[in-house]
Amino acid sequence: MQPDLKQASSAIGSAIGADAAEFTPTGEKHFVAEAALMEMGASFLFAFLKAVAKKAGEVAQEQVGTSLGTAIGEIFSGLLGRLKRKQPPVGEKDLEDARKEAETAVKAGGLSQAEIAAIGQAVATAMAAELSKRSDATISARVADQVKVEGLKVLTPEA
Amino acid sequence: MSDPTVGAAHRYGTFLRFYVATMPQAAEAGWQAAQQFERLSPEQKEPGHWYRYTGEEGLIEVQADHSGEWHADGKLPEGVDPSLVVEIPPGESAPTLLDNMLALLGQVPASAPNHAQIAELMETLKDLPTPGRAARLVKGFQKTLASVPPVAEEQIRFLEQASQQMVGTELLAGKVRGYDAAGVLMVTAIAREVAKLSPQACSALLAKAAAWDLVAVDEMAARLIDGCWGLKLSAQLTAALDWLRGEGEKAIESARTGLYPEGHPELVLEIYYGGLLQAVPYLLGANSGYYKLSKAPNLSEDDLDTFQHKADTSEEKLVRMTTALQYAVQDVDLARLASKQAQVADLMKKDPKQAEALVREIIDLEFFYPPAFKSVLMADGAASPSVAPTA
Repeated sequence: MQPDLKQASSAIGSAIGADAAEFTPTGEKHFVAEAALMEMGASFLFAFLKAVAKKAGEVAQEQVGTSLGTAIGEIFSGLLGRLKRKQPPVGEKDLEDARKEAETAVKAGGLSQAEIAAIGQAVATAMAAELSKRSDATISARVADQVKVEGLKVLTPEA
Repeated sequence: MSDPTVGAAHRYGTFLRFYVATMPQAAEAGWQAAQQFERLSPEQKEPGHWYRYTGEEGLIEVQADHSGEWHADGKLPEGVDPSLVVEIPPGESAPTLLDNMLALLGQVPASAPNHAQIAELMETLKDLPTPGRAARLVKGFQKTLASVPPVAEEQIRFLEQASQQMVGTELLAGKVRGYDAAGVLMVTAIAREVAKLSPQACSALLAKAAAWDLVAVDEMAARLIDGCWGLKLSAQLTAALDWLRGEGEKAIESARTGLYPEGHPELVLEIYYGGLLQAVPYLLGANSGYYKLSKAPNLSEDDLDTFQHKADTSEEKLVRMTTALQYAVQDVDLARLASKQAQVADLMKKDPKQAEALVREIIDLEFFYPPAFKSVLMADGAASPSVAPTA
C-alpha cells in the first residue's frame, strides 16, 4: 500500500480502537486486534473517498443526485460484509483507485481547497449520521471526523 | 516492589478487583479456565487456532493477527480444517482467587491492630458469592429506600448517594459485587429519567420497588425495566442505559488519563486497575439492560437490532475490562510485563513500527496497562528496575 494511504488507514484504525465492535455486525462477538484495525481503517477511508468522488462529481455537473446520506448508506452496507472478515478486506488497488477517482472528480470540477474541505465535512457529517443509526453517536462522530482529517490529507496533501 | 507489605497489598488488591468485578463465581470460572489454557503447549497457544473447553459447546477463534471471534453455536465455518481446533482439558484445579486472598490476609499477625477487621473481611469475602448475601443486601437497600420521603427528588438523592457508595467505596473494598453495584446504578439512572417526565410516576414506581420480594438488587433493576416498558417509557429506558454506557466510557478514560505518581509504577497500576474496576458496573448495567430490552415482546426489527447491538458493544467493552483485570492477576508478580518488554525490545531491533503496533495493542486495545506505561514497555526491563519481576 502507498505509504500515505497506509498511514491514513492506520490513523483511522487507531481512532476506532477498542470501539471496533460498534462497527461490526450485530450478533457477532469479535475481538479486533491492531492488525485488523488497519483493515477497518482502510474500509472507512475507501468509503470516504468514494463519497467525496460522488459528491464532487455532482457539484461539478451541478446535478442533484441521490442524497449523500443514501450514498454513504449504500457504500457502508457493502463494507459491513467485508468487516465480517468473511470477504476479502478493501484491497490496496481498491483504495488507490478510490483515491484516483476522488482526485479526478475534484480536478474535473476545478474545486478550490475550501470547496473540497466543505465536501469532506459534508461526507463526514453524513458518515457520522449513517454510523450512528446503530452505533454510539459520540464514537461515530469521533471516527467520522478522523476519517475526514485523514481522507483530506491523502486527497490534498498540499493543503 | 521490594517492600513485602506493599507487595502483599498489591497482590491482594489485584485478586480482589477481579473477584468482585462482576461476581465471584464468574471470576473463579475465568481464573480456572485461564489456568487450563496456560497448560497447553506453546504451539497450541500460538494464534491461528480454534479452542473449545471440554464439555462446552462454544468455539473461540483466534486468528493469526490476534483478532478473534466467539462462536456460541460451536460450529466450524465451512472450509476450516477441524485439526485447527484445540480442546482444552479441565486438568487439576488451581488454588482459587479466594484461596489466594485468604492466604494473604492470613499472613496478618494476630497482634496487628487491624486483626479484627481482617477477620471480618475474610468472612465477607467467603460470604460474597452466596445468595444469602445478595438477598440481605437488597432487603437492606429496600428498607432504606422505603424510609426515604416518597418524593422523587429525595428518593433520587438517596439513590445517587447509594450509587456513589457502592461504586466508589464498597466495590473497591470487596463488600459488594459488580452486579450489586450495577443494579443500584440502573435503578438510579432509570428513576432519574422517569422523574424528568413525571416525578409522581417515578415516586410511585420506587415505592412499589421497595416492597417487591427480590433476591438481589439487579433483579429490582430488571423488574423496573419490565414495568417501564409496559408503561411505554422506552425513551426513558434507553436514555438511562445510554447514560450508564457513557459513564462507563468516562470511567475508562479517567483511569487511562489519571494523574499518576511518577516513579511508582506499582502505585500507578493499583490506581489504574481500580479505575477500570469502577467502569465495570456501568458497563454491566448497560449490557444487562439492553440485553433485557432486546428480549422485550413485539419489538420492531429496528429496535431489536439497536438493542442487540448496544448490548453487544457494551458487553465487548465489559469483556475488555474484566479481561484486563484477569490479566492483572496473571501478571501479579509483573513477570508478564517483563516478558512483554523483552518482546517489544526484540521487535524494536527488527521493525520499530511493529513494536509500536504491539504496544498500541497492549495499551489501547487490551487495556492491560495505562498509557503512561508506553515508555515502560518501550524500555527494556533493565531500564526500569522498579517494575522488574519480584522473586
